[in-house]
Amino acid sequence: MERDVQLRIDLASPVPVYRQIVETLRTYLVEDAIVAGDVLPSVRTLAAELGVHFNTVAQAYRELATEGWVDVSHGKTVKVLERSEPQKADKAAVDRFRTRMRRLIAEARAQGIAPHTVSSELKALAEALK
Amino acid sequence: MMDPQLLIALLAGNAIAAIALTLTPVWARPGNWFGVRVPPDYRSTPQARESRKRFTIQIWIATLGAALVSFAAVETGRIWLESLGVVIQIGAAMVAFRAGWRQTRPHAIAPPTTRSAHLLAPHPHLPGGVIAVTGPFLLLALACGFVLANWNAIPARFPVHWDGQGHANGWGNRSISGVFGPVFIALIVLVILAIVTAFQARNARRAPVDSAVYRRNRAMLAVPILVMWIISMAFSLVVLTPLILVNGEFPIPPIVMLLFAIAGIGAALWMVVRASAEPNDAPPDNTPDECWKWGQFYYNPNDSAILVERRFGVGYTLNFARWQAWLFMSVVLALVGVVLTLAFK
Repeated sequence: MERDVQLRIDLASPVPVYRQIVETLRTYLVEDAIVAGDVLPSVRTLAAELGVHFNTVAQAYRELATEGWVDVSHGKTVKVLERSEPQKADKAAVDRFRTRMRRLIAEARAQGIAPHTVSSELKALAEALK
Repeated sequence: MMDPQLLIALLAGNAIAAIALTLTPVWARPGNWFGVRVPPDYRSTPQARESRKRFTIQIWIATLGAALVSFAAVETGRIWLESLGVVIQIGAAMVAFRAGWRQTRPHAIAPPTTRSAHLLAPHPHLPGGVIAVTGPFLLLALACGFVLANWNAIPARFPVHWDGQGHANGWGNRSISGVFGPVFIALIVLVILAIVTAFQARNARRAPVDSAVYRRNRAMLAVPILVMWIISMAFSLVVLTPLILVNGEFPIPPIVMLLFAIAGIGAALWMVVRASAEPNDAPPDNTPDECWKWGQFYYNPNDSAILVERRFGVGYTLNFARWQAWLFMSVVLALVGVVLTLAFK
């Protein structure tokens, strides 16, 4: 059965396109929507279908390769790897995460989302992305 | 002396071309009108109807000119003049389309900012598999093999061309070039079409196999494959001609051959139109309007796509900002040049 996994980007978003690609793919990888052994479209194919420059897609794949998610060393093929458990995050990484989370929660609170909703949503997401 | 049957055939060709050209604006996606991105309901507005009316009138005026050229071609016996008529019709269609594009541009809307791609979807598979593309070559090879096996049964001199009344007016002789000459032309044409098919399969947008986009891509791929089979059958018959002549006459009446050709072209066109008319779950056309020169030629250095959906008619066109597009065009044009050189030699 063919799985349908779609990548969506928004050119009007303040987030750079390459970052949108990295974040969406990383989410799919953590969720196991894309698994080890899957072959992702080549840089040129994905760039052509999104209508963006291939350097944008190449940059996104390079970042995912650095994180150990994909192998881009074999020509045009982009293969998803079996990723070993990442090492325990260092203090600096936790601090960066906390800063980003703080901004996000502030945005949620400013929009009237209750603290218990924020915490239950965060817990549910964290469980789902185990 | 004028051949009335030939004149009727050429005029019919002019009329069919005119009808097909006048329909090109309505064959485009609902959100495209004369190569401009417009709201989906734009084509029912008075402005849209007016631009289409002008386009249609211009096409038929050009067709009148092409018909006069056809008449002159038959009257003078210079059939090559007919190609001038084709140039007139296509050239006029491009100029008329440009006029429609200029009239429509003030009504253009901004392109969508969201884009999407299916990450695990396959490229479209060839309808009929590899055999569908290799089959025409095999058929031609079989015909050649049969002729070689019966080489001694070929007359030393045999007719290869007939006039409208069925009288032979061109002759060939029993030699490799005399019998197999047309095969070289057919082979080159088949190679061109095989390249087009492979290029199209490799560069068409990927989509899930149960989607309308996937079915449309397969239908588009079926068109060059169908043309390959028609050419292969026609040239196999040409190769077999010296062996199947009955008292120096071709056993299949010209009208049957003509109907066969019309049926083949009609089937190819029907497949294109049917594929285009399918319920379309395709993402919107993301190509920027300003990258479409005259609404017909796509040039966008910031787009990695080599093949994009046409805005003039149906099917695909090339992104001329990519070197691969120029390489593809060069190879195809070089092969076409070889075919024309061989045909008129």
